[in-house]
Amino acid sequence: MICVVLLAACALVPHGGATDIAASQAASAVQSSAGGDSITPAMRIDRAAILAVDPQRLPHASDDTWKDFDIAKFEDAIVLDRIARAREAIVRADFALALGELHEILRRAPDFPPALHMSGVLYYRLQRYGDSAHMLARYVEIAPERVGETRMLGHDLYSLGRYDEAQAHYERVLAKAPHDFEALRGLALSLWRLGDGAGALVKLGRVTELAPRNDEAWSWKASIAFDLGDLKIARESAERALSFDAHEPRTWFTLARILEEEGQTEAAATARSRFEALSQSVARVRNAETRLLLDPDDAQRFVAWLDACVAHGAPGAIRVALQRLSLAPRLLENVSVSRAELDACRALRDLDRGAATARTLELRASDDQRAWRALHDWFESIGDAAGAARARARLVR
Amino acid sequence: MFRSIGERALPGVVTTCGSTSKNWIVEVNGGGVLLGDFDLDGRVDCVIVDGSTIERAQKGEPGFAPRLFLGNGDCTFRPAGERWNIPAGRWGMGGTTGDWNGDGRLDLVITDWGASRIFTNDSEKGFVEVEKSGLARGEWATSAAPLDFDRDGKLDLVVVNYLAFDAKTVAQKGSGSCNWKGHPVMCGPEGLTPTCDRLYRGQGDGTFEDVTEKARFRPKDAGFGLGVMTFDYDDDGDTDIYVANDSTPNFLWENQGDGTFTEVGLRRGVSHDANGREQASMGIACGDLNGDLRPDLFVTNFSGENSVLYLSSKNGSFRERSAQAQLAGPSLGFLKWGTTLGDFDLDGDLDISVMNGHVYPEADLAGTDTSYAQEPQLFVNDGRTRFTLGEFADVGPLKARGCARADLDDDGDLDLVVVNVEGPVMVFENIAKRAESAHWLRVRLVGKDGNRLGIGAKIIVAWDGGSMASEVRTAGGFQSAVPAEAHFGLGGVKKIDTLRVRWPSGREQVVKEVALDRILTITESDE
Repeated sequence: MICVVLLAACALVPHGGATDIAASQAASAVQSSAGGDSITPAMRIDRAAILAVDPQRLPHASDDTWKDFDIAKFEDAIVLDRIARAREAIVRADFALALGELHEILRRAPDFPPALHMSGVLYYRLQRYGDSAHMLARYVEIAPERVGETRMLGHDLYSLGRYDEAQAHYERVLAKAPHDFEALRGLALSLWRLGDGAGALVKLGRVTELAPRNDEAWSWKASIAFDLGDLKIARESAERALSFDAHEPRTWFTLARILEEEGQTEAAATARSRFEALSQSVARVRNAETRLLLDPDDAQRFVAWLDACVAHGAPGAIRVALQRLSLAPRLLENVSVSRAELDACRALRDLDRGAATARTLELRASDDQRAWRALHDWFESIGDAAGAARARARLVR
Repeated sequence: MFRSIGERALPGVVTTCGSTSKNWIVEVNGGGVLLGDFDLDGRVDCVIVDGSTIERAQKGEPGFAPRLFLGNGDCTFRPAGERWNIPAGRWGMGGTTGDWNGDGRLDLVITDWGASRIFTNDSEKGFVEVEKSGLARGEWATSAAPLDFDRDGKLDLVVVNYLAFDAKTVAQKGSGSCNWKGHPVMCGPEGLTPTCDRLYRGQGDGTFEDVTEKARFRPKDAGFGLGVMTFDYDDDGDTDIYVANDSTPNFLWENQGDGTFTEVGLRRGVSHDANGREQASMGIACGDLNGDLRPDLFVTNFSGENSVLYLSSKNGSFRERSAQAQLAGPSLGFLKWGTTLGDFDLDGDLDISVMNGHVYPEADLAGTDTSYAQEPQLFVNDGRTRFTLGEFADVGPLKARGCARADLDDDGDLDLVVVNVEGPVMVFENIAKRAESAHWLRVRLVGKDGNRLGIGAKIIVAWDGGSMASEVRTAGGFQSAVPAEAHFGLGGVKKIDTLRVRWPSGREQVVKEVALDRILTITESDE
């Protein structure tokens, strides 16, 4: 209910006022969460309050405050403690709570560089590109030599449709680090968005020289070559991209279009089917992940996400979900979570983790039919006939 | 480019679309604008389709009635009077116009969250609702468009449906179920059930037969339909249909010429953007931008997704050219709805107008990279299908939705009528500075059969060194309708040598030595 009241207040009062209300709610939310590790419904609501804070209204330091900043010499224990808590929350993928800590730091020590950096990255991950750009621009002002933050600022500007500014930032990175292939790829896409497809293709060629296994670069190369009408390069690039990552819908989409253009209608239809299936499964992963944002410890939502990752099949995404699970011991107590974990281990052929999960699940499964089905499939996949028989017996019963 | 006529244009006309807090998805679409000459006085009139509130709907009370305003020929309108009253439905969305019974008078369809309704235009009684029209009830219809898909001379109808909505079962804002960029917002469309669109075969008397199944107008998966456009994309003489879907792939229905359709959106490259991402599409504009005499498509999308320009190519496929046309970046932060293609400055190429405004009042909260009220946009074509952002009007941000274009003051250029959620309906007079040498032509058709307005006809004008094509339609893209005529901005062209009409009946007709700067009416000949 606090959330509803808070948002109603936001709609009724001028912008600045709403932000202030949200800020104080957020501050108390962080305070209340700092003491213990149990997540209550009230804290769930407070995450919304933290996300309602406008970070662009946080106070700024004067220009030379952090001129010679050295974290090793920094002594404010409260700030350092909050930074540690923010890091811990990030590891648990609890981005909202991490941001709450960072906001408090930035109120106490305006423009504290590590907090600017971390919140810039977090807002980027939350797709709040304007806020991310604001934080990173402040950071880059303080530390203009930093390549990674300048590159990420380029990504923010690209995502906001400010392609010429993104181009300038990528070029700045490349002036300092000519082999930074991520910046080069960003530059290529900015050029493409600005209408220079030929220039983009040249840059992507350089990316694939520097990082020959970079599937994203190959995939973009395919898209842009197709756009320019060079079907040969487009097709070769799409096939290369798929050899590194066969789960990326965009590449299948481009390949389908290339094949259609080449008159290979049957092959094109097959590629389209693959694209449609992957596209739907990616959407399911994305939706499930979004639902976790305000409630990262909700077992049901976590299961939906992990199941969606397994259904999509991209090993990288499944690994990320499993890593996150490893850092949330409370979730592991849930039978449905263990069932989803076992399915994920089977998809990855992770024998060690799968064996441990299977042992635990077998003890806790009780009459949960989905758990026994997962156990049965796991034992079958590793050739454990006895285990499979045990699970089958529970299924039958 | 435009000047708001202000209160004088449509005195006191505002529309209602639920509460200002937008707790439910049914509260966000806003209303539509249907432009056409209903009283046959030669001036463009205007039907404004109004909505309702959740409270009225839950009590079983009707929504607010659609209203006809008669054009004064100077970008202003007056109430049409009791004779033209249109009864209220449950919650009006938009609709379309066409001559369903072939009597030469412009009839109506009003789309609704409840039941879409057909009205015929009677010279004595005004609008008369067709009791057993054959249109489905209990669906949430958004846009509609007339076409003669089977070329029998009787107008058929496509109605686009959004989703199955019931306030009793859909989670409310603040329930914790739905959030956007970390802010709790109203739920949908994701998580709700999309509803299939419908195709109706006209009987020539204002009634229709549902041929959705028979015509195979059924996609593999239904989409959340919002916009519709009729056009002959493959130039084979029959009318195809494009549907803009919210959060699901868009459809291109290819008319097979035998009474059936095949969905070819993905195959033809118009279902997703160039990267294979499905978008939340709203409005559609159609016209020949690349000069190949085939129609191109411009589709508006949600904030964070750019508007998409699909240009036709020789093999019948489309290529997304939003970036090359410089339409991508400037559109990204806006939530885009009604859109029109028209040569607003009469310089011989098509420009684009886009109406913007977010669905979430929460767009004004932190971190959204957008805002609730947004400026309308005008993209001015430099003649090479590259656009620059022009000055639309001195009007400030709006919460705009449906819009339609027409020459409201008969001066040859195109004006706009725009529905603004939680604000007055706005009329924008075109005040573009035009070159002295700039010419124009408006072409109206009178068909022989029941399709009296010649909907689906293709018109090609040719002059020494150039040509231009347009189709006659009333489909306005998003919940709206435009007058059934072709408008050509001709720039410095001094003389049109030939004007060729390909009628929906298949007949071809050529008019030579066409005088410019006028409204030309062509009657279908027997030959």
